[in-house]
Amino acid sequence: MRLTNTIRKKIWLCVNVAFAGFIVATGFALYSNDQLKIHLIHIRDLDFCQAMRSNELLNQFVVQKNLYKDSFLFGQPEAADKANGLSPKILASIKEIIATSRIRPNLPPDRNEALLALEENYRAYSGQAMALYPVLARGDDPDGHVAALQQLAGSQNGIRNDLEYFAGFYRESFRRNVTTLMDMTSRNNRLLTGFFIGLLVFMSLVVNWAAKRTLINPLAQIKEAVRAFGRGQRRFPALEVMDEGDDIGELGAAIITMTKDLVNTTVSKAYVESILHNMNDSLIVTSGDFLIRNVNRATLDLLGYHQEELVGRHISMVLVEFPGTASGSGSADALDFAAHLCRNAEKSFRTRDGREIPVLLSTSRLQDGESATQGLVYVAKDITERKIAERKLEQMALYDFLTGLPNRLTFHDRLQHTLKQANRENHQAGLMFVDLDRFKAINDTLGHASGDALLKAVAKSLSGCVRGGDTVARIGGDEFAVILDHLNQPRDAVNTARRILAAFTEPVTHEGKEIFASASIGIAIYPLDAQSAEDLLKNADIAMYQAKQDGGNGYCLFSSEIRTISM
Amino acid sequence: MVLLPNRLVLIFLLLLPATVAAADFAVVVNKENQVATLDRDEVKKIFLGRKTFWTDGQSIDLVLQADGEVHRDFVRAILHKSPRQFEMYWKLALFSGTGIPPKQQPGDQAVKAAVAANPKMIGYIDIRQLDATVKKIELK
Repeated sequence: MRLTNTIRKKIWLCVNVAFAGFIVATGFALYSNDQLKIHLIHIRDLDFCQAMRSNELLNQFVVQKNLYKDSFLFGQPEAADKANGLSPKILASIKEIIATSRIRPNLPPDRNEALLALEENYRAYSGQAMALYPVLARGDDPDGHVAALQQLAGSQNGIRNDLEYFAGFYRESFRRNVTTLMDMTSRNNRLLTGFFIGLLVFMSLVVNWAAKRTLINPLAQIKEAVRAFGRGQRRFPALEVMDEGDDIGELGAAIITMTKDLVNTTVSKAYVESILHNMNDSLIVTSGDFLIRNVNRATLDLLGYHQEELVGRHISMVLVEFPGTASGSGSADALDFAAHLCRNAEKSFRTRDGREIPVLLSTSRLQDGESATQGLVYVAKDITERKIAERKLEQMALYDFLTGLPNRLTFHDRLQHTLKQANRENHQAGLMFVDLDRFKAINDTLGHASGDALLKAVAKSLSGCVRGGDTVARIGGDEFAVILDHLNQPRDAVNTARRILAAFTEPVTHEGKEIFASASIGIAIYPLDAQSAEDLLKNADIAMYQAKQDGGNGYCLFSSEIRTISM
Repeated sequence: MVLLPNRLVLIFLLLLPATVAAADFAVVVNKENQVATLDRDEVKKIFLGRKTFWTDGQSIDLVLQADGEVHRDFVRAILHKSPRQFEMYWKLALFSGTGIPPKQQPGDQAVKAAVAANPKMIGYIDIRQLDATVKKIELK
């Protein structure tokens, strides 16, 4: 149906159908009015004229007859003359009626014959009357004309009856035709009303049908298809059968194309959610004023919250070092976001039970489709394990793995630090070297495990013998060093050495065996014994060596004599 | 109630001349006619042409007298008309074809002769001229 392939044509079709109905209705109204007009013209030109003329004729005849009667009864010849004068007029009237009657085709033919007979009768009557009545009026004895008078009276009555008949007939005919016309008018009214209503109903049905078929149904199918698309349907057989030459069919085809394109180029919400759900990293999406909008499962697992506990809350509830106002007063503008943007920054999240979890946090501005919705996306990786590993590495680098004491490297650091501080604050610092006596023998006889246990015990007791600010370090296999900060006098260092030696009197128990150990301690005091860390170390070592030379299990305070001896 | 006797007297006086005049003429028919009496009304109808048949089915022929005392009395007493009115009546009947005016006879003798000659005829004469050639109808 090429007639209705565009919406414009469809609408015009409906309009034209309605218009055609209007034209037909108007035509009927005009036709019926025209018929009425024709009838009215007939009535005006024929029926009304005939009625008037026949009545006039009757009157003329009666006037003539009365004039004859007067002339006869009272002997008035002038009345008879006057009556005679009326005859041609009456004849002319009869002729007019006959002529008009002939125009009218629907009159029975015998009516015309009757009119012609009337004309003949009147002509005869009139001839006799014109001859007789004037004579009688002038005094002639009527007795001689009784037969003629009788005949005249007879034809007079006959003519009068005829005239009355015609007058009545034409009057009645006029009335009847007018009545007929009135009936016809009211019948026309009814017919036209019925016709118009019928036409209106028919046109309404046709327009409705056309609109439904060409516009409403296809549009409804498209509407259904779009709804079904929203529900996830991807195939629309109703649209595929549509005529593509049609505007609405094109729309249907466009929707099919669009759905195919959409399927090919976009990912579904479920798809995205599935990805987010299965992500190992935490993902938090906030609004422009830092209220949490979305979190993924990893976040909930990490923090121990339920989703509903987080959504709508401020980000500072989980982010420990939230920059800016923690209360989140008002929404941040684009400039404020800059402070929140970061890439692989080490931050901490606070869990539901108050622990802090180190995370590697990246934030970015949220791009929500084409709308410029403000918001931030937080992606955080839990780096607890890495932090532990890092700490372990650090421990291994700086501390002795067996005893947990600072190793040689750390020891040197601390020593430098302590000396600088002592120098700055102008007080003394002490350095002790503690070396276990006969450790090699213990190791060889009791085994490395016992040696290690011994070393651990020594480290522990050393740590117990010093003040909080002092440092105990393991700087060799069986060598320990103690940095004594803030010495008031060298004597304090000696006291510490004695405490240490006293601690060695208690045996160390390992696997049921008691191990007895002793130590040799060398002491050097800064700045009395040396001006640099190297010298201090060397001198403490010399003192320790001296203590060993003295038989072990004792201490030796460095002095220049010892140095000389050792040299 | 003085009014009532006065009015009766007046009516009586009005009726008096008519009864006197009625005595001046006689309605006559042929001797063969069986009819002996007629109502005044019937006589009136006959002379106005409205009753045209005798009881035995014969048609009634009328005869009038020429204008005279008897004629005037008859027309006045029976028809309650003037002779002129009576003449116009018959002329109009002649004009309109409803009847033919009756024959007029010049006097009582001519009327008697006409009545005696025609068994269907009826006429009127001066009562003093009544004789055996005709039969007088008693008026009721």
